[in-house]
Amino acid sequence: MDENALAKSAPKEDIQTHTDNLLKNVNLLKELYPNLKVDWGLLHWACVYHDLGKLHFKFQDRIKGIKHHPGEIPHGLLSLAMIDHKALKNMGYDRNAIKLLYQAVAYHHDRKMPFQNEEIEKEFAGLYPNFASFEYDKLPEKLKIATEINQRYFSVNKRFYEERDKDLFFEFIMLEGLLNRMDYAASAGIPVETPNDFLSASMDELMCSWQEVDENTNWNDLQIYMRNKPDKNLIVIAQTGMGKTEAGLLWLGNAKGFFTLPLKSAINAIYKRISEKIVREKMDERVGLLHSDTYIKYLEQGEKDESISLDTYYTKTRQLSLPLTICTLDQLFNFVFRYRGFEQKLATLSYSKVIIDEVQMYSPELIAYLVLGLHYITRMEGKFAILTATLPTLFLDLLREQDIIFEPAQIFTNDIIRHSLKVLDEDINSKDIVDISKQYGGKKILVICNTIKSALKLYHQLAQVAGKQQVWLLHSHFTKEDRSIKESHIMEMGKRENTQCGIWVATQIVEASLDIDFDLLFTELSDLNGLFQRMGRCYRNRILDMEYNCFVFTGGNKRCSGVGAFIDKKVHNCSKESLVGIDGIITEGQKIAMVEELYTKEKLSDYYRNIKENIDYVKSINEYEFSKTDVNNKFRSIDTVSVIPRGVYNKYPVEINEAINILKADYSGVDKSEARVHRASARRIIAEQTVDIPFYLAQKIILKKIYINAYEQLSIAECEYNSQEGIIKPDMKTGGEDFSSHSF
Amino acid sequence: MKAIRLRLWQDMVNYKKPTSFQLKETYPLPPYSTIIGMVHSLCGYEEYKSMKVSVQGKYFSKVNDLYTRYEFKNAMKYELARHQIQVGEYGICQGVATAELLVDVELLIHIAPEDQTLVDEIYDAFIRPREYPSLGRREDILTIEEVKLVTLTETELEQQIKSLDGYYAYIPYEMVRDERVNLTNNVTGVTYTGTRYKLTKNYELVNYGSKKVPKLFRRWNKVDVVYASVTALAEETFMIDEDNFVAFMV
Repeated sequence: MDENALAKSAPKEDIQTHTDNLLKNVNLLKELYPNLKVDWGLLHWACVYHDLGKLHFKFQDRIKGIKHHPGEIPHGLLSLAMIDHKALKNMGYDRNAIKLLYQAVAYHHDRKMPFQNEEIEKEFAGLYPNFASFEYDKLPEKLKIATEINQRYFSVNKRFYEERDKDLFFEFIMLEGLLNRMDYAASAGIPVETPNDFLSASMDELMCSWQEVDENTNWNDLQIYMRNKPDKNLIVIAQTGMGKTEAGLLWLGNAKGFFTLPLKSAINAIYKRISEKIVREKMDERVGLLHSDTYIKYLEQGEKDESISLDTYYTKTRQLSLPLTICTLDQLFNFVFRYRGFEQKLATLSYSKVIIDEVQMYSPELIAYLVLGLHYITRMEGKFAILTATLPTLFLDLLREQDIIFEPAQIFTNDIIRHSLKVLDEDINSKDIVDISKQYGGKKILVICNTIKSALKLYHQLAQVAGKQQVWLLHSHFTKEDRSIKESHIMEMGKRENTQCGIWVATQIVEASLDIDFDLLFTELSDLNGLFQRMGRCYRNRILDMEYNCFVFTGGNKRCSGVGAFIDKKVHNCSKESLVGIDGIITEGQKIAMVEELYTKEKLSDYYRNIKENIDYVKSINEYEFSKTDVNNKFRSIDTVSVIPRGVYNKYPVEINEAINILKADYSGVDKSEARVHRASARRIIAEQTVDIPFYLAQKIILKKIYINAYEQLSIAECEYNSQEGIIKPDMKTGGEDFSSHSF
Repeated sequence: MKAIRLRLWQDMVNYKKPTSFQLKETYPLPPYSTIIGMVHSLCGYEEYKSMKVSVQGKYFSKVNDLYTRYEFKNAMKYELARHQIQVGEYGICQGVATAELLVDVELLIHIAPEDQTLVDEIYDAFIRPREYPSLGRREDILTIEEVKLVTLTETELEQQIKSLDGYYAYIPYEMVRDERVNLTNNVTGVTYTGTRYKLTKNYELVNYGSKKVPKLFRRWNKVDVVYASVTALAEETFMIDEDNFVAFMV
């Protein structure tokens, strides 16, 4: 080891070894994806040069723990002293290529930049002592340290911009993005990519296992359509229960893929399904799960399979190096802000396929990010497939406006008639629910309200009539522990073969991805999309055998709850209008046609403009204007805040305080990964007792903070709590609105 | 090509932007027409002598200060209640207004007349000025630090030449567009840096009236420049004087 050329401290590694690891990863990537739009030679040189600036004595002193010198220049900038542009020219690289190389090396970390080239050049002299003894066989011959940076290729804060530099900007994304991937992979000691060599076979096995049960089973039209068009961008509208997940995986085949879903719970469910039914082995090399609680989920996975190295698995997931990653939209698509360091995400997506499920769930803001993201992905030659139960027509217009090329949207439905809808133009109430359910004799009844407030009210009324033992409540303001108990309960009861009877009162959190099948559905109207999603929880895959099985309350003279708060008024009213005249059987084709007709840019012009404005806003942001932290803060507004209700805290004071102490403890000198497991388990104990509240609502209630460390604190909401009703009337800051009528 | 090179200093000066009204704004460096006008005045030229000029320099800061403003309308008769000053039968308003002033201005200027026989004459005009030289407003007096006869040669650079000591310059736009120079003060997230100006250089008189009743207007020749601090890049061709200063001749 070259002790005067260290690149890493723990464990110690010299620049030569580290760079060799990068080059190994380059070869690995080149073998897997030989046709990537990147100049492999240039990437090689970017790797060779990227860390040479670490030879500076100030860096070496710091990494050896000898001394912190003031005024250290980021090593990426010092590396520029060694780049020999004349030699590169002789190798046949043109000016633009050399410029790409200089900037990729200079900006490979987002660090505070000096003001002028002169400040960097002054520090070049500090490279001499260690450079004199530096030996590395990958360097070009007769390497010298320059006295000046050639400003044709680099000057501080000079960068490539899409508007001005066109294709060069995208070439830079590939070069810088891949350099970053190589660098991080080499640092973490993981391969930059693990090839997908299993998914097609796994899908075949899945089919075989189904055929063992029923030999006539085969892939349906939807699945065959998607399997036959692996190279195209697809948009597929298919009703619930048609096997969209499988169809998506068939389209993916043996390619690198990302599967995005709107909700963490849906992601966890799909991850579980893939791990149990489809991939079944070597999950830690094949399938990753990426959302804000990844590590906690992996802890659970680690308990099941002790051979998994959690740290490696987690790192591979974070670095997007697994063949298949299931993730939330914000984890992947925040690159649309083109923050400093965004290149690696987009470069990775350029050779990946992205599956986007449940598009109808996204807010206008997220739709905007999605559309823009797809614009960039297709520009970089990545592929996408959109899977959805219903598709707003204006979404297609938005895609076309961004010059995104895709196959015409395909609709897949079967002829099974599942639903008969009765529209009741009145406020949702327990009397009607009781009367109607007596008349139709359903055993399993699902009531869905728009807000927690209205759900609570109905829960109490129904409990009085039917008895507390027969009625349950589910909404988002339960602790994670209670919610998962409730979710497994409702799922268990929602199984067709289950004969238990009772009433579940819920909010739209059951709309998506909960695989349940009830006999009768009573719901408030939110919008058409929501209504059809909710209907999917009733007679999920069986033939209608009664006069009516779905009842929608459109509010009568009163407005349905939640409208105007988080349900768009215009969308709600138009939905209500389009239900006029509907009475009785409603086919799957009819539902899709109704949605298609309603969600057009003409009818919902405000909604459409809202999305457009969001797109224009993000586009108006210049490249590299934001840091990654800035962008994460922007996404906070769609994020949630975890709080512990005072009632829960008082119930488990010992457990929670113990966990806090574990998090507070000092772990210096303890094995890193061991400490991480400790902390993550403590976090899980706390997380189980927290309720996730939307960011904007959390700002309105009174929260008491418990200090953990400089970065973390625990929020206690001043309110009672019980496992039947969830959070009860939290103390609001003055001027706060009614809490439970703004949440679901 | 022979040229006169000037190193100048001014303490508080305004190079007025023609489009500014309430506050008399200033350009960051004197525009070409201001310098050409000074040369013509010092040499006593009655008609335009074609010349090329390069302007570089810097200033320490900028302040706003009051000045006396004289205002009048063409052919307006004197009125006691309106005007403070009477000139013959016409009236003038006297009042205060604000001007933007550059503080401690340093300039490096190259002047090359097309008719190269004029070089010595112009040189002499700066060595022995016939009256106090000023640049900008009439009261913006000039300190001449150095006058030197130099030869400008078109040279392909082997080594890049950085700007002198934080100097800014007016750079012909094409030079920036073709990336023959690098603009040094970049900011991350800003695609284009530098300030683009259309600066007046010289004019022709154009008659919009008739021969008998002429209405003469100045039709300005405006040049497209970028105001920035730049480095002249290696392997590009520039006009260089014997002291290795780059001249961005316009």
